[in-house]
Amino acid sequence: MINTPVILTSDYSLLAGNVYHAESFIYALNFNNLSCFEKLTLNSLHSYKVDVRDVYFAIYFNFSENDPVFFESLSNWKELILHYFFHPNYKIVQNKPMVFLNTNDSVRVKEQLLKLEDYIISQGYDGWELINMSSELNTKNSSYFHANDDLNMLSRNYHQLLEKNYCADFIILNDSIALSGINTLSEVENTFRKDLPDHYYQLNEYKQLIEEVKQLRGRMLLMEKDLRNQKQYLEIYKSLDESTKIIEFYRNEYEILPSWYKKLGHILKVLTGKRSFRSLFDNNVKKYKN
Amino acid sequence: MIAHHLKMDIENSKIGVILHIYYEDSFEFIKERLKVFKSFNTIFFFNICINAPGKEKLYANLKTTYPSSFITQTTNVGKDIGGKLTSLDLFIKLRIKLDYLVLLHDKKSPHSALGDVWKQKLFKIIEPSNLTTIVKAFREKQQVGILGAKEFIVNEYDKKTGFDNNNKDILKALIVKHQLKLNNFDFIGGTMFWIRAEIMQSFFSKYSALEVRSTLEKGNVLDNINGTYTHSWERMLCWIALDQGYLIKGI
Repeated sequence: MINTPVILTSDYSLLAGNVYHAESFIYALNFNNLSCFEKLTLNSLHSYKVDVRDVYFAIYFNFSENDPVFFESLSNWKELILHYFFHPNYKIVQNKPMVFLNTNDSVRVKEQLLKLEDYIISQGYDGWELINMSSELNTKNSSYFHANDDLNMLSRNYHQLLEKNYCADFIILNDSIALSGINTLSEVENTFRKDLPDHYYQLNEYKQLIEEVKQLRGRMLLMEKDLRNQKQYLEIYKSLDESTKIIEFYRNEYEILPSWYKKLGHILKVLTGKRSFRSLFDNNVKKYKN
Repeated sequence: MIAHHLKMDIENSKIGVILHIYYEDSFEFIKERLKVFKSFNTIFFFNICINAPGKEKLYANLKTTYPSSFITQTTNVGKDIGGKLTSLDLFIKLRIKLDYLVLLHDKKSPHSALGDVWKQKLFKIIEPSNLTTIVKAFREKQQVGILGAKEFIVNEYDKKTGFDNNNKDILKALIVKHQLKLNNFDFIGGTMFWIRAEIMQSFFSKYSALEVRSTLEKGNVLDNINGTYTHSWERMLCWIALDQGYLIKGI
């Protein structure tokens, strides 16, 4: 699809699989009170047989009424949140875990979010990818479109969005209409393709190029890192002479032993069948067995 | 010849295998060797580095081969130590009861010509011929807390001069911070060993493994020039056993 459906749900058991058979989508798991953390335990999360491809999930902090209380308590759950991010199906965009949010922009909330973000950064992420859904944005400048449950309206709106080149972004659906919503989006795209094939082709190309650019950018960063690592290894490799180390090891382990002990060692080699007997007296015979 | 009751005892051991994977091409080498755990009651904790190029394929491979395993995918923090700490934290939080943990990773040492030799030696701790010997050693001597390749038991401490490495200042600080009482500073270089699960459980229930992870360096970290928390924790992971009165045994 040209855009990625995001399904808002409180039913965490949906993680068990791709029940919607969509190409690719994200479950945004509704966390509207603190008991949600007790509901999505690590045991339950890891017991779900999440499809290894195409089904991702993200947290949706939906706590607009008691924001400060909720967000101030979040630090108590920071390690659990981190373990959600560590799940291979958690949606990570450019080394940033994606988090959906429905909150006001109060200073207290911002402070708590920043604190949590610092913790995430200390664990090696480049911050988090926040999508705050409290603001009513549905233009190309926003990164999401939150559909209401009226499928006819969804159909009309999505068509208009495609006409405005809304592409490679998110379409947020409530789980009550998840299946029919995804079908509606597909139908709209099919109609759009038939009615405006060139426009559809451009959007599709654009979407694929955006994804490709993201992937290539990611790979480039990794390769740059890898190149730096290899240079570092090479410098160390050059600076540490392994042969010197081996010679030193040989000297300490063998060379410093008294010669009678070493001679005895050669007799032991013969007795254990590792050296030929004749070689003790004759240099013109094969010394060691292969 | 192992007595029947001991054999049964060994087969009933609950083992947790903690494996950190950084190199996508290394899993086949390890996968073959992991088959040895089939005759044991084993739980696998796999940790994939987010930087691994073929991580999606690797995840699918792991999920198919070990459907009941716990798989995490983490940022490149603290190299294999950071990955192992993630799995240890998961093990603690899941409250799984285990007898032993086996810490492994897909070691490559590109800066050394001996990298492959080290790897082969480190992996002898999961060679089928050594497995019963290891479990037997744990069963017969309660004092044995850690078991690893004897060639890798290292001690960098000198009573007169202290630690002989770049990490000495960090090590001293960590020992004080975690109140370790040590009169032996042996550790297993390469961080691949068997350890009684209760040792890790006891330490990391007191000190969060993820908090420790947050102090580790990011990216490809080496301690050739300066000391690092990552390499210091390589040592600390063994010392927490020594602090609890256990010994390190080599095979």
